[in-house]
Amino acid sequence: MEILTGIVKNLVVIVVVAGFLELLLPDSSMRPFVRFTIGLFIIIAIINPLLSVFYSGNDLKSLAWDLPWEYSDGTGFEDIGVQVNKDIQNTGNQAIKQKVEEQINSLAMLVPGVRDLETEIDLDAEGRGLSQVTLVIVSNRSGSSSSGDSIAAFSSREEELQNQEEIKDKLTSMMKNLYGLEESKLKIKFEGG
Amino acid sequence: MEIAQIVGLGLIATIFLLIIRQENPVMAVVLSLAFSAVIFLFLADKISTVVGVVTELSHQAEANYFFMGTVLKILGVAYLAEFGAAICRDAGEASVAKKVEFGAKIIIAVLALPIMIAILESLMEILPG
Repeated sequence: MEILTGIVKNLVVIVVVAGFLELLLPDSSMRPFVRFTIGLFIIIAIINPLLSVFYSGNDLKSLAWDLPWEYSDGTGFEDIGVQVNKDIQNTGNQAIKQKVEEQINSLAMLVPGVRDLETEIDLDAEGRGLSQVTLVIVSNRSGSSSSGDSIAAFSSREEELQNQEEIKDKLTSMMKNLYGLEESKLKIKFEGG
Repeated sequence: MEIAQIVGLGLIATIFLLIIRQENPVMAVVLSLAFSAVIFLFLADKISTVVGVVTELSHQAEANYFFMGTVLKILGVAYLAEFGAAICRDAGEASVAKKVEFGAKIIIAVLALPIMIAILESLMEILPG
């Protein structure tokens, strides 16, 4: 009984929709053609549930290009869109990261005493600013000629530390002035301690 | 009051057409086309709402959307052909209008064929013998 009620309910909706569509028909010589098609649609609406209830093996015949249309509310597409957007943002962030690293490398090389360096930056979550900059510096060693003399070597070590402090100050102020980077976000390391 | 706007536009277009048609029939056809396009664009939102509601109702009634979509396509073809034929008739080309209608009928028949075949095949399988 429940099945029958369901069928009748659906039929009523379909017949009302078909009647409404018939109202929309243009008043021309094509009217009988369209009415015929709407009539076929109603016949399908009647046959389809009867077939599925009384002849369960015989569903309405449909051709290859008549695959059932799956109703989609578009959430799948939205997810794909978000993923594509994320991928584009990641690619852009990677390019920005590489460029900024190269830029910092070139600028830091201009600081006297810096022989070579490696830069690694981390962008913030939105990719709009720098969250952390790490510089690993290879500096020129001063006073290396006085090897063998323990006092000279000691003083040379002091000189080197002083030299490193100078480089550190210069790099910090450069990063502050050029990128507005806070001191806490900048890490400067010297290779070999 | 959209209907007032449509009627107003229609009356203005009719007056212009009456004046222009005697002097320049080609421009009259162009004006007629432009008026059709304006009316269509004006009502495009409402048409899409009607189609959306009909589609939603057919989903609720668990009707196969392929068939529903075909019926909507046929309605679209019929309207388009009607517009085109009316413009041809206005331009005094009744024979071209007939051809447009003939084309539309064939397209409607082609679109309706799969529905007819589906029904007939199903009925043939059910019927004994």
